[in-house]
Amino acid sequence: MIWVMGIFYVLLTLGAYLISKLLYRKTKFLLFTPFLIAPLAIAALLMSTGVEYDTYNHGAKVITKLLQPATVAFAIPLYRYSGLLWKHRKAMLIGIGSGILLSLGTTLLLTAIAQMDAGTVRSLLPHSVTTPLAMLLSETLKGDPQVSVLFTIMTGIAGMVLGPIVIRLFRIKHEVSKGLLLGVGAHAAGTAKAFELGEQEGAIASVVTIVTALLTLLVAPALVSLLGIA
Amino acid sequence: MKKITALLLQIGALVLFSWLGNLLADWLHLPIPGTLVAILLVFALLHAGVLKLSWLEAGADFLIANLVLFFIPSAVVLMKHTEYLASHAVGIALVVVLGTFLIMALSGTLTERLINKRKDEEPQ
Repeated sequence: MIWVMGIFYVLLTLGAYLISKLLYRKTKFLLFTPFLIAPLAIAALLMSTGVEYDTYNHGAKVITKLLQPATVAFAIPLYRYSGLLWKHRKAMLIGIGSGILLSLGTTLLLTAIAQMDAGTVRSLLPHSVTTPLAMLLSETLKGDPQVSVLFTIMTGIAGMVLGPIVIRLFRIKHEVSKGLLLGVGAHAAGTAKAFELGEQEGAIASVVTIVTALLTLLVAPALVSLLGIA
Repeated sequence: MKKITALLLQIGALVLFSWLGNLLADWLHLPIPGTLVAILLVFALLHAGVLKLSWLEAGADFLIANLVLFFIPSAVVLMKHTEYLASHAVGIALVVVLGTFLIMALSGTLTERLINKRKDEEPQ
């Protein structure tokens, strides 16, 4: 019986995804982005029927398993646009550096304003880093990796909605800048949005996501010990 | 039918590569995730001409086009933490929404400026 329910949760996830994708395509309304609507709809359904998250995820995690090969697939656009990446390496490195410093800086500043506890601050610091590396960084910073995953996901959702708004508001025209801001601000979710905008944007965002994660992993622990947030 | 078979085979190949990447990272005790090893491996094989773009691109494009789907089950985890999120709502909203907005706005405009400056300097 368990496997029947497992298949049901996989189909439920697929259904929620396809419906939200269709809805988004028809309306083009940013809040209808599938990464926001589909999880909320599934969560609402599970909570109203009294199903635990772990019961759901026991079946649905099959879908999560495809995340790794989908990430490996980034190699293809990277290869196609390696010339573009190389040409703009300097501008990209400066853009990434500014994004990382701003991510750590705004987190420290805004959590201080909101008077949050040190544990939450340390779990929030990796929020712009892609999930597996955010967990690793959270552990290094003595945060709670599970809580960090939560913040990383929320940042991804926020970035998918905010990215196109930023691009319009600040009149960002170049595909490199578009891909960069999505990758540096919203990691893999931003990369998914970048691929919606175009293949070049997506290739840029995927590189930026990886470089941002690795550099943050290097910089953040030093910054935290320097500022003495322990 | 032929197209679907090719698509499934290509996705299968990418699954194989990601498995291989994890294996290599584990074996060689590399400090980077296996997925990154797999990306570098596929990139190198494409560059060396061992792999042809046409052998993988349909599968890769399909997976990338549906990237968001693979994140959905992990995002549903939010339902487990509603109380924690509600009690920290203001701070989290500030960091996640305002913070991300500022990061994107600054890094995007800065990069755009640098690229335009370079364009102006290049001889036409």
